[in-house]
Amino acid sequence: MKTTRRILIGALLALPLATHAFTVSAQQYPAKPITFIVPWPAGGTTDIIGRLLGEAMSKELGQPVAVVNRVGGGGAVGTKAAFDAPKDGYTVLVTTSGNHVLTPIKGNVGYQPDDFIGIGQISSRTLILATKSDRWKSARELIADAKANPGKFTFGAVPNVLPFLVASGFARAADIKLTHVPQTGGAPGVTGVLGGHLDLVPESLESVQQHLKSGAMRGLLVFNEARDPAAPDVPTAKELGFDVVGNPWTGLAVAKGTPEPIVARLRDVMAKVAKDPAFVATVERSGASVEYLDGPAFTALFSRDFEKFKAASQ
Amino acid sequence: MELILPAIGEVMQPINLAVMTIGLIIGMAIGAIPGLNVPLAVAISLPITFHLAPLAGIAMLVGIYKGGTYGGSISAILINVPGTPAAGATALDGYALTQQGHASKALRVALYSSFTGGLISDLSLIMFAIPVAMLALKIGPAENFALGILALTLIGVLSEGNMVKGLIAGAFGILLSTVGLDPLNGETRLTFGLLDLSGGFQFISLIIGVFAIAEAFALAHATAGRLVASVGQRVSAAGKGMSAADWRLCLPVMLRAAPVGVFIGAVPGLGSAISAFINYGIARNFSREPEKFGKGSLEGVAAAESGNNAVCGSTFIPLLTLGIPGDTITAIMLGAFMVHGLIPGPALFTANADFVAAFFVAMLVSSILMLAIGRLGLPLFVQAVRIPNKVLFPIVVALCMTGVYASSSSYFDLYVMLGFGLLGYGMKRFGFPVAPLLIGFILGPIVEVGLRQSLIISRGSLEIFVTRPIALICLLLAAMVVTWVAIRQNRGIKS
Repeated sequence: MKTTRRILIGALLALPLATHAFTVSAQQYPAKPITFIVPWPAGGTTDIIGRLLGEAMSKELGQPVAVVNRVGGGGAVGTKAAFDAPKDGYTVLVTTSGNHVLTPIKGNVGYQPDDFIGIGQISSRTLILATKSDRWKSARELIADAKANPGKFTFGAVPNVLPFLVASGFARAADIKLTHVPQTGGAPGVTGVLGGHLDLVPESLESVQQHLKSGAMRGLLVFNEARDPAAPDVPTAKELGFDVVGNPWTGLAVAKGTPEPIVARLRDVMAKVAKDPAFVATVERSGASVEYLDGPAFTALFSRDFEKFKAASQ
Repeated sequence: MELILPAIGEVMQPINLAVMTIGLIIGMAIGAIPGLNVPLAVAISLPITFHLAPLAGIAMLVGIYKGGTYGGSISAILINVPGTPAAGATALDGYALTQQGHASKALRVALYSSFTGGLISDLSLIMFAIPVAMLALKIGPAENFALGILALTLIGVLSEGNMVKGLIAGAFGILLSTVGLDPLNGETRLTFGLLDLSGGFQFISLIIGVFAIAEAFALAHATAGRLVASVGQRVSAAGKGMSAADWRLCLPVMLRAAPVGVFIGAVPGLGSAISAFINYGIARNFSREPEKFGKGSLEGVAAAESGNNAVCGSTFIPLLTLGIPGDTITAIMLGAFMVHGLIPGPALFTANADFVAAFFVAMLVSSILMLAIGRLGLPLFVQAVRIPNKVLFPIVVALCMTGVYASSSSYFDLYVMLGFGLLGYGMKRFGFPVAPLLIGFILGPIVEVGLRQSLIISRGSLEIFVTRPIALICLLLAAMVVTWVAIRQNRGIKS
């Protein structure tokens, strides 16, 4: 019981540190630990990238970074918490296109994409439309087959997330009817295709890459501006004449109203970390890849993608 | 086989044994502390393992996983606080045994059952990985729905003699599971406009509420009413260990629960809590003393613990053979494999055969280490029974609060937990069983998602449930269980 009591006392002592906000001037920043809010579950791609960034940035900033998962409401719970926190640079949001742009499109969640200032983008992913390898050999074959059998073929995706939007955008552009089977996450859709319960799955390239390599699945299309070097054989939708492009991104942001010197400091530190070869290597080993964009360029994505996907989701 | 001997040598290196031991101890502590859950512990430890050699890093995570799954039973038995959702079924009988002065026996049954279930699961992973994975891939939406319906019939089994209240509790559990975002189309349901509710109720808040907080309310009420003698009486003796008769009673239960747990672990999306409750229900169904379930049955503890630990090895089957993570923990482990350049999937067995062999040996060794550490810790754990209730329960409540807050950083979840505490207290007062509520809560989403996805795929035709053999068999079994329970109920076999 001694250890449990000690943990309890420790936790109680730590509580005021976590909840009380001190006002500290920008010159001293950072004068106390910084919190990174991850609005997605522990262990996911966003969480891993957030933790790696936090670890690397804390060394540069000279203060510990605590990563906190605030999950729920399509990322709205954590994003709102970051928006409501004191705008002093001690709360940083690890944000994705999902919680930042798509969730506010669906309904009023108490924040808009422009309520935040981007510190920088850390990664941007390729989306691929994949099928079981004994099905269609190419997107053309799929289109011909689907035109002959409208609504017969299924694709599995979480509704209203980017993979869903590009897959339905592709079906519209190609004038075919695919049946959407809603999923509870990305992985179940991949499993469904492997098990033969679904015909198609739009997913990030890294989550199906091993199945492409093992020959269990085949990629039909990627929704990039240009082909992805990691899957050079897979054509872009654009090449085939369908203007459907969408890349989920991850980065850091703080609420608007955070003092300019603090924003500049965070942007400098993040730029340094994102260009560090050791950091890039660690992220790449975790299965993601670093696609760094600086603060202003990243901030510009917020309203651009909001307008783009608002139109697509209607 | 020629890979096994060098693998044993590698696993037995001091550094590997040391990190596994550390992992197991961390896991047991995290598992035993309410609110702090195992996926969180694995996620937080993940960056640490990046700095270790591949085998050491993954062995440490395996240790946390196994230790955590077992550790939940310690607090479930001793203080009625399931440290993990999977230990909820253990608390049903484990705490009753502690109150009757059999804490020592209950802890031993839990430890040996955890070991047995875990070991059988590891062996299944090693010997039957490929066929089990192929079977698991056949489980699509229709099969998930049918399996969920079959599992829901256990509510009937567990409610015999108290059928109406049991069914009400089960239905209420399903209702609670529908709160939050619709799992398929993302619309909010029953949230009354509260953003905090959009994530739904967390199972950990529910389970800690209905067990620990409800127990604290009951105790407070009894103390206020000077009824200490009749309610919440705590026996400060831990009692004796297991007798030969206890072994004869529990061993068949452990051995029966393990294969069921192995299968549930191999199917992506089910998990250890479901295995624990299903095995608890099955054990009651086959028991010679079903009336003891919920009132201190050793068989109940054995089934729940063997069942939930049997998931630990087999969750790696879809991960290693197909590269599919079946639950949160294996999803995090997938990251750990990738960081070390190991890509789970069929190619792993040829490209990294020596690593796979070492991983298998590490699974077995960590089970044995868990048995040893658990056995050594037993005399320490049972000391908790000496603490008087008026000291213990304030600590328990504070621990529950900090634990739940630490894992979600949300005050709202604390209110939810207290609310469920009131619910659990009310259910206790008016004779509603808790197990059906929890079973309904965890199975509700599986049945709902399975049904809706099936009907979209079949374009609205119910034929999909009778043309697919696994689904049909499960539904027929479900009909049999319902009929059987109805007949027994009518004969008036009371529990």
